[in-house]
Amino acid sequence: MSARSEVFLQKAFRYIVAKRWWVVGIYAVLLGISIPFAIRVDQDNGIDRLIVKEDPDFIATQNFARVFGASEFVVLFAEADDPYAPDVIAAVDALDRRLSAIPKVASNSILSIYHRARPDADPVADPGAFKTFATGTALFGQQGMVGDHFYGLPLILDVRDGDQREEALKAIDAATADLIASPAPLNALRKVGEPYVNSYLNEKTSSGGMRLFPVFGGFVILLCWGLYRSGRALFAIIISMLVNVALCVGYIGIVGGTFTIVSVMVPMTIMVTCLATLVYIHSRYVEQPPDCTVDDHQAFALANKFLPCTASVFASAAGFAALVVSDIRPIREMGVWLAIGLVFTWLVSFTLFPALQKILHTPTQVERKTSAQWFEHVAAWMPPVTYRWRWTTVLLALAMSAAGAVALFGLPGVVAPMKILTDPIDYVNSDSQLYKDTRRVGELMPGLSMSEVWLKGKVGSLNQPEILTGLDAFQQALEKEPMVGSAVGVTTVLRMMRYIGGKGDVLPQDPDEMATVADSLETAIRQEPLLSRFVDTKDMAQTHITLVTRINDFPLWLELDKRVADIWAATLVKHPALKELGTDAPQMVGAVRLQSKVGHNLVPTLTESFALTVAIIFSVFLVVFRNGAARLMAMIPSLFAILVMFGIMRLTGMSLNVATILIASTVLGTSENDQIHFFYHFLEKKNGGTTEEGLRHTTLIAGRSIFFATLINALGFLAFALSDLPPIRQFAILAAVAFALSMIADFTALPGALWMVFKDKPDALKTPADAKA
Amino acid sequence: MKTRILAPVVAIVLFVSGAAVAGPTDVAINVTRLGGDTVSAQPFVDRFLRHVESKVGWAAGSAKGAFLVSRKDVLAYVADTKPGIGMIEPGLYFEMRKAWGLQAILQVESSELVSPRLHVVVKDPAIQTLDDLKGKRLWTLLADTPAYLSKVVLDGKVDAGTFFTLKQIGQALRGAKAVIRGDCEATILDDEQLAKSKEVTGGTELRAIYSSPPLPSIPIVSFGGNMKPADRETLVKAFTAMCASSDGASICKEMHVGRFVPLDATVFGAAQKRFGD
Repeated sequence: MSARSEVFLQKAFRYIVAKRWWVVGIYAVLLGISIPFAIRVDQDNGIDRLIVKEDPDFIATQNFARVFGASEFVVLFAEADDPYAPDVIAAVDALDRRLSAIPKVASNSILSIYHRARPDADPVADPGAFKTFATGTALFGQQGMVGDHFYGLPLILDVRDGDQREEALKAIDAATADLIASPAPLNALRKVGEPYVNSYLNEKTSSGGMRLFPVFGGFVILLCWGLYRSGRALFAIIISMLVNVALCVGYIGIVGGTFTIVSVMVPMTIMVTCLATLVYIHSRYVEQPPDCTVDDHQAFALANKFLPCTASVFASAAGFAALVVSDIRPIREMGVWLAIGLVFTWLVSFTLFPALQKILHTPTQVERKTSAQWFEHVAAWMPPVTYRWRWTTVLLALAMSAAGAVALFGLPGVVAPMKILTDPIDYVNSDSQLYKDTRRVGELMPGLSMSEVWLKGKVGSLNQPEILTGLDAFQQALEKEPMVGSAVGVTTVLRMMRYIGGKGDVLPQDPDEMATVADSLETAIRQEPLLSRFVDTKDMAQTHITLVTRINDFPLWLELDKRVADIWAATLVKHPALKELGTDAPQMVGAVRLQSKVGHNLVPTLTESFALTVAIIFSVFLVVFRNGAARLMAMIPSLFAILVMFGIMRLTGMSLNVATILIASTVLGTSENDQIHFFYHFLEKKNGGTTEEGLRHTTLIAGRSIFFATLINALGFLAFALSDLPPIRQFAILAAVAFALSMIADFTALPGALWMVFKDKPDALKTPADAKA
Repeated sequence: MKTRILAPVVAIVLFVSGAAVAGPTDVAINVTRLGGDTVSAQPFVDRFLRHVESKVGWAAGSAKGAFLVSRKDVLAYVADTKPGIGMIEPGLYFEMRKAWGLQAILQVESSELVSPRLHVVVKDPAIQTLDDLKGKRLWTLLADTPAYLSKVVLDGKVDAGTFFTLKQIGQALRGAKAVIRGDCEATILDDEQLAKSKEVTGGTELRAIYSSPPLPSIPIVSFGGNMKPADRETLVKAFTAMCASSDGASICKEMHVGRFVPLDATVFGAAQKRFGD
């Protein structure tokens, strides 16, 4: 930075400090505006929050919901040795009646069907008749309603928002509480379904934040106190951080944002970045020379840290803003919110924080010695040691980075790429009852993943007997497909109705009788409400077939799409009337597919956003540092940390998921601060001096801040390792590990590489010829 | 939203054998186009019968009933069981009145089951009058009762059986959709069905080119004309009180009957006059 610029900056900071009460007042007003919006920010992990609104599959799924309703499904699973024992029937029947009485919850169990079909029959008094009814057709078993040792009770939740969902789930919990506590005569009663998963994630992310932020706060207080040994400094730092976070979350509230399992880390990331920036600034501030006034030194310290802090904060902001390329909505939102939050960080760090330093008379080393004076020994020790071990450290870092890259991307024919988890149940703690229930039910049912084959015809298409006959053939062909566990459509319900009516479980072969079935479909809907979920009652033009599968990987969904298209084409040949429903492959929709798509898009998101982040940060380095070597070397510690972290993930069995996929961008965005400060101060002495002088100077000025900022960042994130949610827990652990690795590289491989790039050696080892050169 | 049955009842027939009225009961209920089929409707029919038994004084379980969905089934059933009382769709009533010796004793009041007026509905702008429909396809719930359709609904303007190409359907809206699709040129709907049809995609193009005179409701009839006045009085009392009673209201509701009321002699008389015998 030029002397002229430095003078201008010092004047500007003197002015800000002089107007400190105005500054505090302005922030007080901004806080007053932000806080009401901040507390409105809600938590929602629904699929509509996880994908961008422009996504064609998302739009199709929304359109599908407009036609057929957007109900959510819960399955209660009652296990028993003999499901037809009278006491078991009585228990399940009583449970079913309690569930049916819940508002906005519709039960469609085998027992409710039996009661509708045989109003005067008592399944408890005559279990044999009930068993004959239940086992007289494969229809109920195929839909998982009953099995050799279980009942599946599908519940349809007609809820419109999270509050209604919570209300319905609470009512279901109340209705099931007794049987879950003491299941006899059942063996167990289990509750599964996406609403439960979403509710679990919402509850855990909210309660986790309330529980873990105080832990993080404790670390901050401990470290700041340990570093500066001043309550006033601690107070200035804490207030600045809280204002920063309040402004950021307030902004999220103003734009109508909602936290998801991913974006819940936004306040945490803002806090650690803000804290690191404040530590850099305050560490420079406390280094007041004895011959300089506090005010003069404060202006100098702020001007001195302005360029590296500005560069690092805006590089991080731009890096996070690069996440906007993602098709995954919370990742895109997280990027934008972090970028905006970091702009607030920059403003708070250079306005509110200096004002508070002045108002609180935060002490400098003249008044009170800071801790970690041993860093002066490190500064003396580091240059010769890193020179001696330069080849070892650099080559080791490169080798570990390469291994990390292989762990992530794989090696063709040798190592498979890292697996991505997309099943939401994997976000749930494996010790939780919900996780265990879901896994157990998944074993016994034909699957828990549902996808819809959406067929659209003309007005009255479904009243055509030939079309219904063709649909029945299509549905049965789908059911024979190995990838499909079961297929349920309008003709399944019609067959079930015929079975109940004593006409067998197949549609009539006689054309006249089939015409009557098609003709009276609308009145049949009145009899059996389940039918209305499979046809658009207004036009009778659209229907869908629900496929129940075990699929949760997007490529497998795409494979299923192909199979469905083939089966459709084959059915069209045999049933040409179906052409009225379209000759192209049927449209496939469904929330689970969307979840899988979100997961599938994680890899391009990771690579695209990370590449952009690298490019942006490298561009910042180009602007800030004129030194070519610096441009390259500055990236080493972060890249090393990120790649090695992926290696650790692979070794410890952690997987990429919607949270950990962000680890690379997050670590790069926050850890490159250290390299900017390191290089900025390194070049202050290197330009016109030697490499050793540069290294010694930057270790003294920036090294202590890097050490403590890393300590704070790592421990701060580590607080979230106590989270109940595996993705958050993994993210926290990995972030902490990556910060530590980055710092280790800052003090080892990076200086080693600099020795090699500058072809320099410690001053003590230089010969007269070297010195002359 | 109000739930409605959009297909008018063709025949809801409560059959009571003469012997049953005289003493031991042998009751059959035949219901068509209330929705569903014979088997699925049976629980509703049985509840209805149990209530009637208790009010008329028949032995519990003595009445038998059935729900029939087509004219063919009704004719077969009547021939087989010789029922005593029926709740029957007006078209069937007028066409079989003489053959079965029917006597209307009450009528159904129901905004869901009764069509007080019917319209011939088309989509093609070129069709302006009934004459334009000569030889064209007309899909209707009344195709099985062409005499009633011609004489009472169309007021003798055309002989539906020869003028149109008729097709019997089981759902009024099915006809509306068939017109929209182009499967037929015309259908017959009441006011509410026409309004509902306009909500269907493409339904706004539907319009009525003919409207019938006021039409009779669904009559409760006795078969054979041999019911004793006292038995008839007992049945009338039981039916008229049913839908207002605490135990009968729910049964009326599930059968979509508002109440049973005395016959509208004016409308029935006018219809009878148009029918001509």
